[in-house]
Amino acid sequence: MADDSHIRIIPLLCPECGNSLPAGEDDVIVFCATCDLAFEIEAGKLVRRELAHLAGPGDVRLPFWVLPFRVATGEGEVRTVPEFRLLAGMVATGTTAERTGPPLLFVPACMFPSTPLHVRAGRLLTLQQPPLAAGGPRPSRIAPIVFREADARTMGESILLATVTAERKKNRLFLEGFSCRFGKGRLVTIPFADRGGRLYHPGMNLEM
Amino acid sequence: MSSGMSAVISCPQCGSPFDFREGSRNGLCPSCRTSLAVCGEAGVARFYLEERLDLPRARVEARKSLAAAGVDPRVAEKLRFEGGELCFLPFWSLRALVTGWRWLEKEVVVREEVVDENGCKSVVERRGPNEQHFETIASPIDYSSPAFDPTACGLRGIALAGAVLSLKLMDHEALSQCATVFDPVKGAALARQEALAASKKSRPVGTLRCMERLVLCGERLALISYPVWRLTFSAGERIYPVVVDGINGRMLKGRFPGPVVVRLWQPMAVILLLLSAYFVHPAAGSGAVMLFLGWFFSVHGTSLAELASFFALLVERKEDIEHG
Repeated sequence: MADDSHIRIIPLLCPECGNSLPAGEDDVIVFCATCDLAFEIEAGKLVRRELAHLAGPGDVRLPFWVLPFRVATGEGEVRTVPEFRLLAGMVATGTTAERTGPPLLFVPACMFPSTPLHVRAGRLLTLQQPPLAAGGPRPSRIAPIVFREADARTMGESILLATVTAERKKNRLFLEGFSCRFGKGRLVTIPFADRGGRLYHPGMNLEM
Repeated sequence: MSSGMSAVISCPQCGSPFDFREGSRNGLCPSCRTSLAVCGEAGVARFYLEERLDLPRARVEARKSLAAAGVDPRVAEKLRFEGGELCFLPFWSLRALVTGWRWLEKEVVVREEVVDENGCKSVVERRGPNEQHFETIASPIDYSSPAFDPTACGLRGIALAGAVLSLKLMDHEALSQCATVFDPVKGAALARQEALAASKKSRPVGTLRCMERLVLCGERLALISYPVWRLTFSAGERIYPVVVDGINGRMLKGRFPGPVVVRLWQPMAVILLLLSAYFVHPAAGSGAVMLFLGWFFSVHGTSLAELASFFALLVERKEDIEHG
């Protein structure tokens, strides 16, 4: 092992305006309120990150990593949203226009009060496949972002499997043949209404 | 490892010291209100716990521990300290979220009530179709493990001391000048594997097959060095090592001379028995000697040195006492 044990303590100052960036204990992404920019703390450096805010009313915005994905199973490859809906055992109603392109995986970038809720939040949004139309105003309150894109990729398989029908997951051969690949991720915030401790998204009829 | 461990660091902006919670990524200087990110080499921050005992105090604590370890007080009085060395032993501290899944196949026993031709009911157990279960796993983990060979010092955990005391940022060069700083022999990858293995749940009864995949997310990895005193005693021509906890003075590991036993009764009884046999009749005395030698050689072997020590070495030292 190398004996180089130096620890670097880096002041978190906005590279654009020089103001101090408020940061929670576990935050990996910090915001400059003056410049309206987000920065990721990577190996002691501040790297600019794009952050999209989905439109809609809400008391609190939850950050999610959104990763396009492909899944390979023994039954074939899943590349599109309709194919993913089949994998998840959802019945296509035909009432809403399906988004074209690869399906998207939603992984919470914030910490939920309990870890099962963390997986549940990712599972519900991935099943919903909401359109990513940014255009929301700069939010005043965003839950702390504590997971990096690499963490989201690591968690990806568990959340994807959580969306698959229970009967498929009981099949050992299905699990042995299951593999997923993720494209480049982006960070989005989704507004939720705080209803006495439960978070609700009226547009997606989603409660967690 | 407790999540309440904190380290004192200096703000690079204003120079004020402030508490930084171990395992956190960022802190806030209370003086100049600047947010600070703490980054270790290759993502690993290194801290150490400062010793609370100096060498004389560690020796006092070691001597106190002798009585508790069962060392003969007369032997303990004669022990002389030969040396003492302050060592810092590294521990991995890992906090993360374990995510993954587990698939299980279990055998199922079905109970059926059957009625025979006489109308008697009985319950018959038979094997039913196997059941498959799938579960998603997501749980936080707070894991600590020695990054060195723990058998050398008897120290296994640092949770209690770490929860109470402040950590200090590791300055390897400065610390090496006053103590021996052990580098980790166990890498971060192995610590991760151990943490994953520790987070695995036990399989339920009746499990036939199991598949699982677990990964660590959002990990916070740190190396924390713990102080111990390595002391040496000498007694006669022998050197005895002792390891004393540098925080609370508890003896962690040590070897001491065994208790001294004075054997008077056995040789005296043999001599009296042989003499009284000779007084009765010389032939009885010779017979008694032959009987004694036969018994002695059968028990202790045919060594004349053993025979001599049986009568001459009335003071016997038992085996060394191992502690920890």
